[in-house]
Amino acid sequence: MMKKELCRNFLRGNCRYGDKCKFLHSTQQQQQQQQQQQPRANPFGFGAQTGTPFQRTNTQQQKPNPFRFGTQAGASFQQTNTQQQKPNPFGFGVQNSSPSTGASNFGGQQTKIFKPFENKWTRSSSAAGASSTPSQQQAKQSQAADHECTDPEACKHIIAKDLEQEKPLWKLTCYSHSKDLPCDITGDVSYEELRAVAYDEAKRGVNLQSIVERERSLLNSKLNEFQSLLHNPYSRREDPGPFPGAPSPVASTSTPPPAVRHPNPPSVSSFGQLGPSLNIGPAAPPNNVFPFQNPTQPVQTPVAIRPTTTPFAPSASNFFSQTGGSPFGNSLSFNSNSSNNQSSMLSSSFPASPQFTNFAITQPSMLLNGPSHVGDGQEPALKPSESVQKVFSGDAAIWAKEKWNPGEIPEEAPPDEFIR
Amino acid sequence: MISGESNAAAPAPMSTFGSPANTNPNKSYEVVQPPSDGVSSLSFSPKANHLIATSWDNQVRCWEIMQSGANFNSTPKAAIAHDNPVLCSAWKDDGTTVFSGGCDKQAKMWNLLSNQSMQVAAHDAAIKDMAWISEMSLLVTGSWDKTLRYWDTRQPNPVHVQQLPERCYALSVRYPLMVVGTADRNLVIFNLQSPQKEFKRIVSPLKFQTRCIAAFPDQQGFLVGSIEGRVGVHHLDDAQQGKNFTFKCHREGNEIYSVNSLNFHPVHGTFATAGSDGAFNFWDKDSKQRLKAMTRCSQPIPCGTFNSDGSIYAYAICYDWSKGAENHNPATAKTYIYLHQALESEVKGKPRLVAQTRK
Repeated sequence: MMKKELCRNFLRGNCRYGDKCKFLHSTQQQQQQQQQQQPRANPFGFGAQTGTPFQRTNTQQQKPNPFRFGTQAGASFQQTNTQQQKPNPFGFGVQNSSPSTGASNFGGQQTKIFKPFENKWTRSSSAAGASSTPSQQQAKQSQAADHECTDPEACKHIIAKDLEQEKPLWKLTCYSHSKDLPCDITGDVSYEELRAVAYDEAKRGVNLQSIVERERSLLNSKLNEFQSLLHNPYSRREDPGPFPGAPSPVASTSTPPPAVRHPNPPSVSSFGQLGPSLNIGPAAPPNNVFPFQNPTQPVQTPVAIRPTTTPFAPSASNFFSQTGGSPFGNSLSFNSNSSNNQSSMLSSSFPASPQFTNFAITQPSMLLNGPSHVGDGQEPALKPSESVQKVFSGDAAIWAKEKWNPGEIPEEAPPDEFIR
Repeated sequence: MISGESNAAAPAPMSTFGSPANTNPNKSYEVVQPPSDGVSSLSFSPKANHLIATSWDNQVRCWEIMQSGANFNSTPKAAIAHDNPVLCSAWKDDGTTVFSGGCDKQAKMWNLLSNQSMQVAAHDAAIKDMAWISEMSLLVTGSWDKTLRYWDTRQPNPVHVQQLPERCYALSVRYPLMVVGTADRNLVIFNLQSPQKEFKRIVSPLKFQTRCIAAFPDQQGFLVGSIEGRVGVHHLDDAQQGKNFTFKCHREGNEIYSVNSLNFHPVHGTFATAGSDGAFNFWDKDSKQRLKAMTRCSQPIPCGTFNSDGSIYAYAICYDWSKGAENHNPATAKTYIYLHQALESEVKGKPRLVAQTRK
């Protein structure tokens, strides 16, 4: 009778059920299982090593997913399966394995009162598993919570530990060595984004080899970033490497990127090759197949994204009513290019209605009443013909502020002069 | 458009790649006529057992699910197509209409009664996630163009465009709370009573890429899942910050898989996680326990969802691109959608126990 799972309590050193335990109690069994599972090194059963040789057919017109390709022995994404069992993989006890009182991190906790920072269920304590007492864990926890980057060696240590123990299988990720801090490494790529690019390329006839190579080089760049972070933990302030999908149609190679918090990084790193194909940035105006246009707003900085202008619809009831001064007027200025398009549509779709008075203060709906209507004077430049840059002249101080309160956070990218 | 006849309940799947247990070790019911490519989202109607799946094969499909006890039956009902892979879906609260959006940068509104669909939203880049806010009668869409847009489906222009710090990766709405997770670990919290300003913007309590978000049903906070096999439980109220914690999950030895889906049970307030390791688990955050661990399937689970009364947990098994293009073999890749009967013992919260008796 084969028991399937290893007993975590036994591995920790104390299982109250002993031989009667329904989980496996032997390290020998572990090796046996390992050998059995060896052929299953790739647990998902895909990426077959004996995949069909590379074929390319582009006749699958009727299929929405036209690419057909075999696989190669894809090695770079796979991790070796070392089958190391961590004693307490979840950081807290699990129902099934009936933790004995001492072993589980929380099992022994009788108190129901949560004290601040008494979190025991985070990673810093769990690695030590059974040996940590609650007080030790608490000390570790408060250290983790209060991390400040004062000592590069300490930061390096955390990064090294993370890269060794907390290394996720997906590599194209941002990273911060402390949970409260912004990213040390930016340039997130999600599964769907990578897949969308691959599908798009396949649709355009790019062959599998190129797709795989592009993905691999992306991966290598990211791995290099992590390595250099490890050697120089404070490098992020100089070289955060923004995501390739940043809305820049120009695929430039590693130009010195701006500060990490810039919402619209104007330059891209060596991942620039991904940028255009991701088509994340300001796309060409889509075909107007639909009865309405897709209004676009011109960029405020050379590379900002174009949100659509948003005259507030008359039917959008009062919950968008103004609640005090917000820098909203900044965000929705007209541009001479689109205003022609806008005005006709606006006049037909959005007749001024009494409800607009709710928005009159700084909401852009005032624009429907014509360019001369300025609102509360926060920004005098809401005229179609005004250069967009001038919108910031009144409120430029917001960019000089160190700390923003909720509600003040500007929606737009800062003008060029504020980009560090 | 699929207008299939009713099929008999499928028996245990006859998989040609290894034993049936490999693809369905939990013996879940297999939904008939699954998509031909990966599933990106699953969504049950709030009013009936109608299941929507959006897929990388550009289709949005609808099945009717019948349940009697532990037995299920599924009937394909209808489908619509987009021009590009579809990434997200949402139901209108009356259960008549489905919204879907994806790589074609549009969202479509599909009235199931009339089987008509029309475009209701547009972005400058793919729409990654969306939600229907019934209290506002608006659809909110989050996109890789770094904006959130609110749409009144009768109007062609968005009611409001909200800039995000980065590309939207996930969003979750429990009125009036909305939490949006973006790239580079930003979490933006909105009070939908004043949606044009961010209520709060925080950095994720997790160290790696945000993958999924679920707001608490009681709006006190939210869950955030990342690619590092970890879920963060975060409360909004400063007074409750002491209750915040993170826990590890979906890890196997040294391999750390991502948490792809977080779903709260509609009744019990417990939640399910589904990961790239092919497992799904049920958890109770209040007693900090795992209620049930299901057996790992041979492929990742990219998404899961509960039905309206929490009796069914639907999940998809297909490749999620977690290992890149080279590990995608469309010739052999199979997609499954499974229905798991969510037993009370698995999804009902339990008080924390010091010692337990074995049954």
